[in-house]
Amino acid sequence: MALNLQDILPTVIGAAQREAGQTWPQIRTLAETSLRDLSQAIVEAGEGVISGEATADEARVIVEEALRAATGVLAAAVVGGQAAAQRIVNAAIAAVRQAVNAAIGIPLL
Amino acid sequence: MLRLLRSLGVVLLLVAVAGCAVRFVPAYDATIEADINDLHKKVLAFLNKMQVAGRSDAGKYTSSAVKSFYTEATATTANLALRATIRDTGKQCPTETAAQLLFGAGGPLEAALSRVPATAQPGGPAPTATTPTAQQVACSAVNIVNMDATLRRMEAQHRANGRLALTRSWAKIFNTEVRAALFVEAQLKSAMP
Repeated sequence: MALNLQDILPTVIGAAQREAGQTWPQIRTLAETSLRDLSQAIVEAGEGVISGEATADEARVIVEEALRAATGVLAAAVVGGQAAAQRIVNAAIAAVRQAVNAAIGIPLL
Repeated sequence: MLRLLRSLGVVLLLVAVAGCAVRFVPAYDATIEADINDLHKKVLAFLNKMQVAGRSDAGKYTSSAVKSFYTEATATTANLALRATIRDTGKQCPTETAAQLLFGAGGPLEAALSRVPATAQPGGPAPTATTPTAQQVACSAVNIVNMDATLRRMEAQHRANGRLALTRSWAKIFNTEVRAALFVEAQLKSAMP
């Protein structure tokens, strides 16, 4: 049976969505594009083995590299969450800075 | 609830001590973003050349142009990885488990790969995913460190086999790493105080 990207992709993206949970909307564009590329890379590696263009060892390396790249996508999502938290907290501080400093009489914030 | 209040108190105390703003992510570095973009163009151009070259002399690892590319590109990624790592030292990125669920043993991709006919796999068993190397760096540095590792692995394959197979797959993997790295840089930029 030939590899079919359309068979694989919904399963992969579904698994990523479940894992990402509430952060999914924030990383959806990055994750879907990346997972499509990585799945395509693996499918093409499999096709390369079938056609004789590549050996199984060469395809296996591609699978391992795709796994590492997927880890990177998830790491990027973590940074996205951390950066959002930083923006929110700092915006909140900025919003009250003038009033708090004025009330205390010193530049606390 | 008590724990949450304590955490909030710690954050407010840190803010007061720091005097102005919190920092959960490292500072944005414009030169890192520029170097990622520059390297991306060079790697894609190289992979396009290797695809066209195929099994000709121009595509062989022994070609001076090929060796020169790897020497320069891995020097660039090593420098990028160093700079990305030291801007956020002492942290680890907890993404191993999630990636393993997607791509590891029993995951959806491995299940799909298991359908490749055994007779169509000369030289070894069916490709299977393995546990990734543990990332001992901050999440903000993972993709840049990955770019360095990917180029080195690609060079090792090229050296061992004489020519580079599956260039389109390599390009997609590198594109993914660059896209994620640029997403990180955009996030760092947007979080600047």
